[in-house]
Amino acid sequence: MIRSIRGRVVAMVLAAQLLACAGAVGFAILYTQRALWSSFNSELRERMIRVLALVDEVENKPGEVTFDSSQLKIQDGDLFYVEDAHGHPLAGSPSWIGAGMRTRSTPSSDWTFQAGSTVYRAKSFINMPIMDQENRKIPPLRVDIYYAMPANRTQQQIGNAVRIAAGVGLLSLALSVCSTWWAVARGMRPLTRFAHQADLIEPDGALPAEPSQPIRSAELLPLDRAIRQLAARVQAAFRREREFLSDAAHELKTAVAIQKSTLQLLEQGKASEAEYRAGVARALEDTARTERLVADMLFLSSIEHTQRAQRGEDAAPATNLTGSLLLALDRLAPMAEMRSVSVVCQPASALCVTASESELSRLWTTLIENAIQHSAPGSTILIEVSASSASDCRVRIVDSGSGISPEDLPHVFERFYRSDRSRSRLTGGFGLGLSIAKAIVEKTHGSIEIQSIPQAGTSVEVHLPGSAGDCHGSNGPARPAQQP
Amino acid sequence: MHVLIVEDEVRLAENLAKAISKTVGFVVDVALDGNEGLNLALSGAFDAVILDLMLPELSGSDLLDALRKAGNKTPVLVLTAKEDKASVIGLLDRGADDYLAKPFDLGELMARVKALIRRSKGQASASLVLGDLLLDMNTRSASRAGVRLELTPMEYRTLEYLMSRQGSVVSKEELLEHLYDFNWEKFSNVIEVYISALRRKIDAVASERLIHTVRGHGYLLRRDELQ
Repeated sequence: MIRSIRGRVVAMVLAAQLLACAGAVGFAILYTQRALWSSFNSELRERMIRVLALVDEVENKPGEVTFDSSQLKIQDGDLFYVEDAHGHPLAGSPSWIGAGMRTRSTPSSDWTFQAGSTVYRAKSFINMPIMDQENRKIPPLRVDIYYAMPANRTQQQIGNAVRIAAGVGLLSLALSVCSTWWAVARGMRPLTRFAHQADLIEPDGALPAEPSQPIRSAELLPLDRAIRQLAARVQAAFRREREFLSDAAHELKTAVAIQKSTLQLLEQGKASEAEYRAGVARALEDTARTERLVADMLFLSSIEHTQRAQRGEDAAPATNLTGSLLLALDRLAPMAEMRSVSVVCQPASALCVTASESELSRLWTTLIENAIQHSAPGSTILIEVSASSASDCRVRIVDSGSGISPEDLPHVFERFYRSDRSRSRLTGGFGLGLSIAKAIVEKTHGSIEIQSIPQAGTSVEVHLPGSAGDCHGSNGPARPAQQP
Repeated sequence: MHVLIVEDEVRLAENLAKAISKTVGFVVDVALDGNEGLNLALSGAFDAVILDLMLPELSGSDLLDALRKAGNKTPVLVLTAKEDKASVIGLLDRGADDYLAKPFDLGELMARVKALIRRSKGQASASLVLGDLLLDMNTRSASRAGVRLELTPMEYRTLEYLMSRQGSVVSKEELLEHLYDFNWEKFSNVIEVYISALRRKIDAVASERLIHTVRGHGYLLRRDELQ
């Protein structure tokens, strides 16, 4: 499900705004209500005091009160009622007061009632002492006053205030949604532009020819850096593949060219049977060479492929390191004998590495064969096997042969690299041996390192993850450690 | 004619050398790396160079650059694994005269080498004519006034070279360079033997002398009347 960042930002802003707005509007309404009612109440009280002022004592009858109706000024629509302490009415009408309200004994109370379409707010003063009692010999004279004022106007004012506050709140909400929508769109513009630029990157990782606009948003810099690095990595990978393809094409075409020329040479002119036989033998030799080249290339490719595919997945089978080494030595014994090179192997106690036996023996074969080929007759190749730590097996192959020149040394692991081309041609190498060795080592998560001094010798050191002890299931053949 | 093959693949170089010397009758030298190839090519003893591009030490295209920079005009045929237009155009622009993509046809390669040499000597046709003397480079045969001449391979090579350079003086050294590969012991009196044999076979039976000796300089093949 695709979610819009803009939508989410706007929704978040809207929610926050809604909360803030509701708080502000609620507070404003509450405050207005309180203020309006408080002024209404003070007005009500003031009018009641004015009514109270009209109650006077009767001069000759102590304890009696009278009401001066002549000075009474009642606002339109107000209702009132005054009675003395004995409950005798003095002025006004009690008809509007509910019976329940009159029997109450609380000194002061408020209530609201409706008469017709008018809403009233009423207040009662019970047992209020009259204001200018002159006869101080008797206890204070008291009256009860009830007063009601229409509250419609105040209610209307409050209603208006609520409407205005809510309206302003909603308006500001709408405004902020719009401005957020616009601001986010504007803020996202560099991202859109960036995406457009990223779109222009070629499938092979090449950046567009015209220089792109520099990124000015701090937030986009890491993304820009990441994309540039990715593009550079893709480009490098593409370049490597292209180079490999071009080298592979050259090697394959050359191999085919040799075969073809050998056969065409045979086809030309008249040849004796012996010449034909020699020609066919040469053609077969050429074919075998092509076959080896194709096999090496496919092997390298398959190793590099599985290396990428099964990274960290199911572990390779465990193999006895010494066993695989001895197997390789066994295979190479005739070659060493032919070149009068002796190979001395000093195996450690049983070591177990997680790698397939065929790949391991291929690794040793490649390395030892290289050593034999570059050794002078009569010299010795030393192979040391040791466990340098609990989980690390070390194999060193040391020869005292012709060595590798410092210019060639950094490139020896490159595919199709040959330090001595005319010589490796004679030995039938394609420059893939060490690439294959490295691929095998890297597949088992180990490391390989070559040190060499020209004319003094070469030492190859291989580290493989493994452990001491016997492997179950796979055992190399038990053979004597000494080879001629 | 003397052809240089610069190719690091020993087997391919051997096959090419064998094919060219056996079927075309040219003398062939082989260089297995770029530096050796450049040194040989610069000697000027070659009528054509067959050049591989992927070479150790000095790449084919660098060799070509160095050769042309030194003013050497020897025709160069490049063997390349790359067939795309850009690299072909690049090669021709650098001074290559022709190219063949691997894997090539041996017959085509030899035909192209022959054509290159012919063109570089100013000949359009495979048969060289001087008066009534006719030499066919394809059948490697010669005839005078319609009569086929029986020539040994070395005599044919000598005549072929003189015919291709007809009208100009060719020194004994030049003949030696173009008729023998570099591993051959060179004795200049061998040339005198071939020339006298050629004179016997070509000039003795005809009225017009074609092979002339320019004393102290060498030999010259041309018609008498122009003298």
